Amino acid sequence: MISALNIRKAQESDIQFLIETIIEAEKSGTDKNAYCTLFSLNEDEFKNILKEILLEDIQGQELCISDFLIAEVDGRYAGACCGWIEAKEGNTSASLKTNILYHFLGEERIQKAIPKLKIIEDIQFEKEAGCLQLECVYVKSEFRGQGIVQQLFSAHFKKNKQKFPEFKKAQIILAKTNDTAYKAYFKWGFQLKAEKFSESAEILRFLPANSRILMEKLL
Amino acid sequence: MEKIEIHTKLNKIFQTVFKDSNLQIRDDMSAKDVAKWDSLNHMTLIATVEKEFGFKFKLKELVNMKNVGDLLTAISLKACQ
Repeated sequence: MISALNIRKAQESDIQFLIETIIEAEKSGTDKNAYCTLFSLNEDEFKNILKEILLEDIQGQELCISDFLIAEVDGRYAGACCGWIEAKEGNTSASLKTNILYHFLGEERIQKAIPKLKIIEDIQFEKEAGCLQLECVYVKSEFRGQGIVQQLFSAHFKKNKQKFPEFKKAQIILAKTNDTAYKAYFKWGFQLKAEKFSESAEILRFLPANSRILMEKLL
Repeated sequence: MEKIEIHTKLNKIFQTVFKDSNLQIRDDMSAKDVAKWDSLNHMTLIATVEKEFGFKFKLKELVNMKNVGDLLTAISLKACQ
């Protein structure tokens, strides 16, 4: 465990690092950014749109500054993770994100993406209302293996327990191929809850993996 | 546009988007009450509403809607502008 670690809430001034976090978490160690492959965007276009989305700061889904915690080592960005209580205001994160993407991408781009979105439906999980959802987990390569993700998770548990003492579970969704993350989360008390797999060969054109798992931890 | 007109027009849109000629909208209706109301159909629904009523929703309007009643209210307010 590193000693000079500081975990704090993200602010607007962190937006460039949050953009890096979201993109690298989405790619999951591959070269596939699903936002780009599904919606026919290049990375610069996506970064510009993502910045506008983050500035709206719509809480309750992963493209939101306020729901991120940032880890710093000696004042340098080391990692980040987003966390929120699902549907605490009534709307699910899926519906919020759908509205956000529709608003920023426009009808034409969305309509073109629909055939691709249908392909990935097989491995989409519905997030459980009232549970802490952990998303966009990222640690810069030079800081890996030092317990930063565990510290970020603990900070999210503490922060959300203070505001919403009734929540009892944390959930996280990851690619089944992400063995490193799976083993770490399992060690920290997350159990495998569900698994989804797509038989479509095409899905790997758009996503980093054709299977996902849902893990959860009782708190 | 009168509220009853808006309600009738929106009901027709719902029946078309969700391919259910028997569907009748209610104020408290939300995605969990309609079998095919998933993310994809939601985007089609919003696009159709905007096209048929002739306006674009602001982002805050979209994310604040929790049910059909909120959608009807938002349309009514925009119809008065």
